Amino acid sequence: MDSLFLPRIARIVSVRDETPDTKTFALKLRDPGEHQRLHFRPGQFLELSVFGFGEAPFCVASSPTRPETVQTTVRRTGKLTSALHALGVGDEVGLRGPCGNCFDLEAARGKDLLFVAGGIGLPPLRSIIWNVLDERKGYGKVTILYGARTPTDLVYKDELEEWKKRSDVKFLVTVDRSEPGWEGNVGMVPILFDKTELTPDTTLAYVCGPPIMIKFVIQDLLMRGFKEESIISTLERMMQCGVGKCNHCAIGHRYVCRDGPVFNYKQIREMVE
Amino acid sequence: MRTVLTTCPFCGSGCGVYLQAENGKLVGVAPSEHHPISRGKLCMRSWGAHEALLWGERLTIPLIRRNGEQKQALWPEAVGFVATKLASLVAAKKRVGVIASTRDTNEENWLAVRLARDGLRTGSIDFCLRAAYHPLLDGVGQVTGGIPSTATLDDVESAEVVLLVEGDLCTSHPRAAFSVMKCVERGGHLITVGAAKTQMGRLASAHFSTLPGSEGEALNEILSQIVTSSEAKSIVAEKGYEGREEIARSLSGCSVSEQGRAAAKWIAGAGRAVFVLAPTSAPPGDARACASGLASMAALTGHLDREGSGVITLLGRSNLLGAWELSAVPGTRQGGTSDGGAELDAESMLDEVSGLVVIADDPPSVLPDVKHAAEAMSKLEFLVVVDSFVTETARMAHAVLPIAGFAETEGTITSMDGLVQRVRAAADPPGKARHGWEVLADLVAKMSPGRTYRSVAEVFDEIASSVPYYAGMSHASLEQGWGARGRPGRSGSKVRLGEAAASKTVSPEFPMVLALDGVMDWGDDPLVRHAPTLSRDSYARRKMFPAGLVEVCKRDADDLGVRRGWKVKVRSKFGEAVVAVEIRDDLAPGALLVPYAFRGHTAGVLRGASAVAVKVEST
Amino acid sequence: MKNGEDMVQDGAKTIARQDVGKWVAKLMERAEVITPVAGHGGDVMYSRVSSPDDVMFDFANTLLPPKQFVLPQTDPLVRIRRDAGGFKVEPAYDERRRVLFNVRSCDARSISFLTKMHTMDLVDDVFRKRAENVTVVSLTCNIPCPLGFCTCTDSGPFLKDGYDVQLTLLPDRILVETGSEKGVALVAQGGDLMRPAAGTDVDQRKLLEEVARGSMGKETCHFASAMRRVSTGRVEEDLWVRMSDWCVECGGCNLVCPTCYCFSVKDLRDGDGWLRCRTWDSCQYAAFTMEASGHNPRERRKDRMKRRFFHKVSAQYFQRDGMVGCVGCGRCVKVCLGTTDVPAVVGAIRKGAWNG
Repeated sequence: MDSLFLPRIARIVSVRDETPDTKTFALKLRDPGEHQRLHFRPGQFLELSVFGFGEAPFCVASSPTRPETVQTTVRRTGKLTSALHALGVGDEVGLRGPCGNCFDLEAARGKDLLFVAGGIGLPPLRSIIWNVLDERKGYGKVTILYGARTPTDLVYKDELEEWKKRSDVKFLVTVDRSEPGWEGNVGMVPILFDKTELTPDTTLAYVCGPPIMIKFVIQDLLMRGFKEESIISTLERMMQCGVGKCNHCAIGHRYVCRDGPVFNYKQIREMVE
Repeated sequence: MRTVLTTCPFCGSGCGVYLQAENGKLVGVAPSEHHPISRGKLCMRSWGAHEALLWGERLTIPLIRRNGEQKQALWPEAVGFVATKLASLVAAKKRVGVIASTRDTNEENWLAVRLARDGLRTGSIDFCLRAAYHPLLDGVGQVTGGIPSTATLDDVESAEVVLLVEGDLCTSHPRAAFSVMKCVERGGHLITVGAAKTQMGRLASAHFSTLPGSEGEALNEILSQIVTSSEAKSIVAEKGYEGREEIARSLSGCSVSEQGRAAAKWIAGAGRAVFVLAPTSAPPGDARACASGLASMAALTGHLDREGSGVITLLGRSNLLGAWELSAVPGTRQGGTSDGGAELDAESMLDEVSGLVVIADDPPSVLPDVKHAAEAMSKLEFLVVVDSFVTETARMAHAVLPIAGFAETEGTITSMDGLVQRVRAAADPPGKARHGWEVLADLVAKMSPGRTYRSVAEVFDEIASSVPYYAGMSHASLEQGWGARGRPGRSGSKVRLGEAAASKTVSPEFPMVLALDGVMDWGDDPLVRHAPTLSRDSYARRKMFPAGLVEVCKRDADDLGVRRGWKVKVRSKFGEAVVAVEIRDDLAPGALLVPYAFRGHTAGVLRGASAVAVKVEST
Repeated sequence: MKNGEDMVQDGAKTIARQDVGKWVAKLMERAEVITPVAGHGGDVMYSRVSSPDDVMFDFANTLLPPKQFVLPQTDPLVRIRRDAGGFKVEPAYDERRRVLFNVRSCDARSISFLTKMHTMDLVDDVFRKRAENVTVVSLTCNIPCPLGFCTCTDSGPFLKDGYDVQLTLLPDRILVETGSEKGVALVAQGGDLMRPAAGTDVDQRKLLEEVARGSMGKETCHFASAMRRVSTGRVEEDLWVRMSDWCVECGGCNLVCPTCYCFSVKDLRDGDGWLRCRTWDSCQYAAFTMEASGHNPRERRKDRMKRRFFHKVSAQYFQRDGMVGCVGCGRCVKVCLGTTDVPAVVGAIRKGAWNG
């Protein structure tokens, strides 16, 4: 049995700049056999070590249908993320996980799926989106609504173009503030709801983004008739161990790193702060 | 595991704490149940006392700057280099100075004084916090005959009335806050005075809300009731105090509130009352008057000499009193100085000396004018740093002599109420670092041949034979029990009562008052900055407000039309600054506080003052 | 509760008072023996003894609980090194054999609690390997300590299970009960210093327990009604606000609590590499839940206090853990740098009133 706190060594396979302060890292475990046995499911997170700077939780942004690498998108906010941003292809990091629960893909089969993401909330959803798109026939309508502060802040810009072009996906994007050259929607994410047909009875809604955005989006969805159990989100908390022992991420007696990070709205509402 | 009793290095309360170490490395702390001050308790900082020394960036090897770079050196080489260079500066009649510390031991400070006065033959020795505390110590001392505290925290607990001229006690002196809580729990009256109604204020029977720097006005209110009473007159007659009539005259026109009347009544009628003073934002003259006013209040109500009553001056650092008492303060030495000039204080030293020895401190992180301090130090011809932690100052030094931290050394410190206690080594200093007293003794020996000390106990013996308060004490005598108190020497003259404080004025042009909150920032102190658990709050705050911060109450923020994080322009007669706003619900209207950590951003507005009238606008 | 016959059947033994030192000496041959010893000026603390004479039997309790020997204040988890082939990591196990000797009932109970916390769900192997090599010899409290309320938490003054060995001081000898295989092995090291317990020995022990329980008087900490209110969110916000004004956030309550185990993880520079260490933390500290963005869901102290008591006293945690998060040792009462210890707050929750 593996040691609970022992990270595995991974190499950075590629680094892609998403925005001025955000990068996507593709990682592969140094030991090929170990990498083969690594199975992340959409919604889970990994504990990434930049040795000497510590360890921090980052959601997995890649789908298990594309297991060549494990990908995570990281915004530079402090010492550890700055150190990570300074690393390049071939550099080593530590990887612990998979941690946490995952999106329930079984429950999603045959249903219409609505993905609503704000800013840095798209990475956790990207894992399930690609999983669904890679197994497209198993699911109903797929709608992706994405918003960021400015066009520069949009992540996965190339993939957004792909989604836009696909006929089996309805993809809409908006920005809070426009920039020269932007010809798309301007406004907060909820404005996109009226530009698409939502069928609350057959749809599961996945919402990720800044807390304020999630709050308004969920309010909107409830008003449109979505059931509380059909609205799914991910919670973020300060974490240290990522395995349910240190108590930093506890909300009531639920642990975001074990019982989450994926929760439905009913569960979130019932949590005791 | 080694478990060693030592004294906490943070605030001036003097709590005993056990440091635990394994294989020479610190691992944690344990409380002491029977220690007379800590009594089994510790504050957040004490609980993390081991952290900085274990986790921090330490100085481990002597360094000499050659060709612009700090290079590793051997000890004899480094000490020789420092001594030779300092001697050459002295010989060339250039000014030199020594900055001692409030977080090192009495023995280290004593040797610092010896180095300055005997070795360098200068009166320029100081410690960075002295300027902030001098008005308080001086003001209280005018009335008590030089004694900063005539009561203890135990007296606070059993007092009937406690008058607290605030800082944020729960943050600056948690141990003292506990005693205040106990007093209130037992039914005592707490009276607080200050611009912020902090946690202590919320527990108070009466809180006097004043503008920063105007704490003296509230004290005057109360004092005006007391000074003319018949009880006061008879006490004055009995004890031979001087100055009552002058105070009565200057306060004769003072208007008094219901609250002021009640407070005066409680104080005068109490069998046991303790008057507690923390540094205020008042300019030095007003702060001194505030301090002497408070001590006068104690005297006039008979509480200066009474059992269970008295005055406490809250000293923010573990060995501030020690540094003060050992005369690590500017003063002309007998026979004049080597450079013929007057003695310099810490701030002036930075500009005026060619050679400076800084012991266990980082002046830019403590002195009010951050920018000036850093700039001035970078221009010094010869800067020597004797310290345990890598600091900005250490990085600038021409010579670095690494020493043991508090848990790695032997010595004594003196708590704010005069308890002299041992500091003991629980772990080894890292790398090539040596005990501070040894390093300083080496320097002293080089600069004053014949002046040698064979042990740290011998250094203390010299203190005991030279400084009256420490007479009769020795390391051996301090080994048993929980330390010792000296006999406070009272000056022979009769107690003098101080003057009343002047009032602060705002004008239509500058209707609010901006002031520094506090005289030091724990977040900058190496023992906190390098401690993973202790530094979280201050680190997060600095990250959230990179462009500066000023605190206002909600009402003022609404009037200005700003919310948390929004920017405002603050302008005084000296200058202006644009900073972010933080809302504090406990602040008096009209007051803007700048947390000491953020003082750099409003330096131009304050221009050296601790409080100034300002105009504030949203941007 | 074990009856006399069970105890005799289970092989309860006695050892003469004057022989205990010899038994301890035997234990010291194979393990580090850690017991309460005299500190400075009347303080008592756990320390490794180099002589059986240092073992204390006559003490109320230490201020720092023995949890530091299964969960150190600075606890290496992973050793990180780097060589030509890249980073190398390995778990930092501490498998020293230790005997915690003369641990009070409350503390013995807490060790089993901590073990459960760290081995349920995902197993903390660093903790487990250390704990596997630790044997707990508990000492019953014939004279309960003044601040303890272990009868309210079913963790003393005598234990019926959850110990490896339980010692009871009888007038002229010591009753030795075993509660686990580890305990049996430890007692066996005593060889023929250990005699089978007589029925009268067992009777004396029962009587001592009754007297001890009786002397604790009526309950000082009523968890049941507080639990109902805490679990259903029926404690007035204002009560938390007022109580939080009597707390200075020293963290002492968590750090000395035998059942608290919150921690943080950080990399400590160690030569050319690092030691990833677990360090004690406190949920009462302001930055405990501070996120990288600066957002802090428990920014106000009253929310942190509410959280602490939810973890200690709620039905939800009681169901998860099988016991309330408190062993009634009374340390938080001694250590509180304010007035908000567990009995005071639980009492306030019960009564809906706080008087400072």
